[in-house]
Amino acid sequence: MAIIFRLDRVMADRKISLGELARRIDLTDSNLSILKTGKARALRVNTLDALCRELGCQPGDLLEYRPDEDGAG
Amino acid sequence: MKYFGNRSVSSFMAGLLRVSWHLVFITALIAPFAMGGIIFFTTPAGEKVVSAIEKGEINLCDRDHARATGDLKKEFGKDFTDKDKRDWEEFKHLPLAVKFVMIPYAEAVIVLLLLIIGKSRRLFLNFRDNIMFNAGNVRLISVIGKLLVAFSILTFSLSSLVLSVVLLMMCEIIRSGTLLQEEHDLTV
Repeated sequence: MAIIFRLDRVMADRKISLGELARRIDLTDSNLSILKTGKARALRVNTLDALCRELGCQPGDLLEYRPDEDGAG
Repeated sequence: MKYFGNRSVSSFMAGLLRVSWHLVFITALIAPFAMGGIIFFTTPAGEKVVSAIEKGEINLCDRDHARATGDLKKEFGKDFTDKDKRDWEEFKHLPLAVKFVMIPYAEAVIVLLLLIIGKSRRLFLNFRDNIMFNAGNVRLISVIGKLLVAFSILTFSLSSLVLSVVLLMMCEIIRSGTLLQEEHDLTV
């Protein structure tokens, strides 16, 4: 997929653990792990809102668009 | 009525299919010997035994006597119709090779039935454990549908064929459901 989640990088910058962040945004560890490892198929706007609020960042800091090499997008 | 979890319809069905599987398995073990015995009594060697029983050279109880001498009306009572008698006479006059082909045919039908029951039981066990939309269930329903097609061809059963078509359609519905479930599970 062309969208890459940069959650792990932002979490490392803020020095926050997965469990702590999950607790703060009221998400399960497994769901946050899906997001962190880039396995997620879709991201709810309210989840993105909660992440930005707790991590003090912009959506663009969490997501990055990198076109696939085959150009499929 | 509960469909999932313990003490549900699925749990009951899984138990019922487990018992049925064992009954059909026992039938599969007995059938070749029973059919072999029946075929033997229609051969010249078997008929000698029958005539010995009729002459009283071999003593049997009433029921076994009736069975061996072909007095099927006495053995089966009112349930034995004229059509059954005609079928029996027809069977007796079939070539021996044809009679023996019936044994592997019957075994094939029974083995198919065992497979269908076994797979259905696994499906109901998954339903009992709240596993509805997953790739394993799609595969199980697809296999059951295909086995039912084979069963309907072997037994010339139209109802089994209709059931197999319904199952294959259900397989496609569960396949779509699995994709939706996966999409839902991966939405954060």
